[in-house]
Amino acid sequence: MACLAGADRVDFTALKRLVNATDGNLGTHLQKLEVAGYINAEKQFRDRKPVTTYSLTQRGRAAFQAYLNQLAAMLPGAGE
Amino acid sequence: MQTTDDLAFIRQLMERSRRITVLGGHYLVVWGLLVSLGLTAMWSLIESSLITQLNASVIWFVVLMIGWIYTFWAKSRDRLIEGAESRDGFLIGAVWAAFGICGLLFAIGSLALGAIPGRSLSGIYATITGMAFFLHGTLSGIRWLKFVGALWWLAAIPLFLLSGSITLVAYAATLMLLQVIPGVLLTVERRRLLSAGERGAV
Repeated sequence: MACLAGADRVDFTALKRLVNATDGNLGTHLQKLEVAGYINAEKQFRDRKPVTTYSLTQRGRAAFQAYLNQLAAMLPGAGE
Repeated sequence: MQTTDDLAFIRQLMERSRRITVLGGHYLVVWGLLVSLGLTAMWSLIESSLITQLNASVIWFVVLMIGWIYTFWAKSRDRLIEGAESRDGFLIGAVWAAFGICGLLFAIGSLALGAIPGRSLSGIYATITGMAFFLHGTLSGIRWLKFVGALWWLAAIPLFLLSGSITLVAYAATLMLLQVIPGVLLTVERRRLLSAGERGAV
């Protein structure tokens, strides 16, 4: 989610490199996020190779921002 | 504290994915090397008294054709391997595309139409290159690129004042220092960011 929040669209290979995950592990996480409606997956063929790019949905951005806000609220001195 | 570390990690990941969309140095390296070669060829022809309107036009036609063919080919290839896109990256691409078109028009205006004195071209190119680097730095948040832009503007002044074939050498040297080297640094930085996750580094 953090990587997708930093860019408009990120493809599977770049995501894998950025988070240092295996294909299966990353694929599972992405599938769950897609089912939850947090990300969009766009499948294309580029030079006859399948490429899937992911982007956050509005719902996903809102959920991610809410998560960041919750984390920030837990910081020492946040409530003062 | 775990929460602080989590937030810091999240922010660094966000910034890393954003940055890989705004680092694209290979175009700068290729164009910098090509134009430097063209300038060196021009300087050689002038020094050996072989320069004519025709062979000068041929040199720049070849340089521009190779440069634009590479640009279009690399752009279509980048779409496969770029990995990430962002609005900032799109805008930066537009800045450099506009720079390229302006450069082409100035070249036509000078070499083909004779509307711009040839001796002014180096200073003009230095000025618009400075603008492109400054905008790239502003849009990407990479501050040292703005500094490179400012250095280009400073370099434009002596380039406007110089005359004769020395201008070509001076401009070629400026290109190597202020375009090729920054292009290499941007390319290395992008590769480092992409492989940081693989190394487990944040």
